[in-house]
Amino acid sequence: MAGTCKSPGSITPRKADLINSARKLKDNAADWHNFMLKWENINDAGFSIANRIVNIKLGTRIESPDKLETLEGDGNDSHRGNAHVQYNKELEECCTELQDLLDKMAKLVLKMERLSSTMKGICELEHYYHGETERETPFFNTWTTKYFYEVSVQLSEMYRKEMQLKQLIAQEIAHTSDRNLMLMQLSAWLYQPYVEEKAKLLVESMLLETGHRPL
Amino acid sequence: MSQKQALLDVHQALQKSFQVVQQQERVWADTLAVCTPLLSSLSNLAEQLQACKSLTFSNTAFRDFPDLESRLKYKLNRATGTVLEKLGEQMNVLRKVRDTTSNQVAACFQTYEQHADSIGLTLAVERSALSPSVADMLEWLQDIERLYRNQYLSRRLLLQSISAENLTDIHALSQSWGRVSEQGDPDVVPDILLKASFFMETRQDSKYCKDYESEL
Repeated sequence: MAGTCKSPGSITPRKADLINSARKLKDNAADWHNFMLKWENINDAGFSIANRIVNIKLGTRIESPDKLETLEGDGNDSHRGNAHVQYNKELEECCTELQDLLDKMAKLVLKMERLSSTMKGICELEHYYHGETERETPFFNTWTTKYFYEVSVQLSEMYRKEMQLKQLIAQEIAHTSDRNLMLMQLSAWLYQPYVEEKAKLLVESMLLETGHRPL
Repeated sequence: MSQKQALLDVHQALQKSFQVVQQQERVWADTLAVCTPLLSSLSNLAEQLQACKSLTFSNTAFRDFPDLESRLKYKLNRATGTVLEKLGEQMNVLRKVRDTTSNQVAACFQTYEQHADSIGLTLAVERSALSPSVADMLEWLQDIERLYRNQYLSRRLLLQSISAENLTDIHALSQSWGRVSEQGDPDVVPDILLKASFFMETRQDSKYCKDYESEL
């Protein structure tokens, strides 16, 4: 697409370029769908790890008073030390796994933002060809190119904000001792407050508009 | 109408009723099984909402997300609503079980009342090795009908009594729900079906029954 649009004075490449724009929009819509699915998968995996972390934390907190008592009764200090090391190791493993998943999510968010910038590019190209007035017939059914861009920005904004929240949760979750706070972090991870319900609607209508879904 | 024919008609009505009860009991049990996970997710959600309510978000590391609390509560409430909706669907199935059973039992009683005079009291309370007495079986059917009716009402009352404001109620819902199942004897229906099983089997062929009865 980039190659053809550079050749000035010729009509055919321009036409091809327009078709390319439509194709690019269609691909982007599919990408949005796939990225959101991938995000959900990683999110689920992340939730089970976060859940494990909370269970480890709650388990040790509840167990520790009894454990200390019995262990002190036995006078077996080394055993206690071992248990502690093991617990730390498991917790650390979980945290590393969670961090890995977060990195993957961050990459996804980057890709999502790139989709928005591609859409912006297409908008600018349209603007270059048609000026302030939009093209007469839309690429697909009813959506203007600008609307594609707006939807894309809305979506990536949701995921960007959600990503920030998840980063904070990952930072905090292993260092929290308040049960309510841990529970809140878990439900925030699972229910993704910043990914609004309309996200699904937006991406589905984008798929409908671009013909991925039958009308 | 002869006494034997009248008795046969009532027996057939009873048999049909027990067959319906057998089917409906299966539906009832399956539906309750579907409800259990729904109830536990409901109490789970209530716990999460409670945790949110008891937190002061501005005192936590999440103070940089000023709208987090309202957004999370919204999502949790939405999820609660979805679960309640699913429970409502299951309640409709339970209601259908209740109604189908009631209708069947009423029809059976009507048949009996039509023939009550021809059968007479002695034959109505007489039981044999093959079949319990008509009076017993009618009583069992009434027991079953009452059980479904009570159980359905108690559960509906439970679901109506919970509200988004009272999270403790929602949290305790799964226990209260379980308690409804334990009301009275939980095995009433299977026990009755067991008692009537021989009767249900041996009377599959009405011709055979007629012969058998004429031998008596």
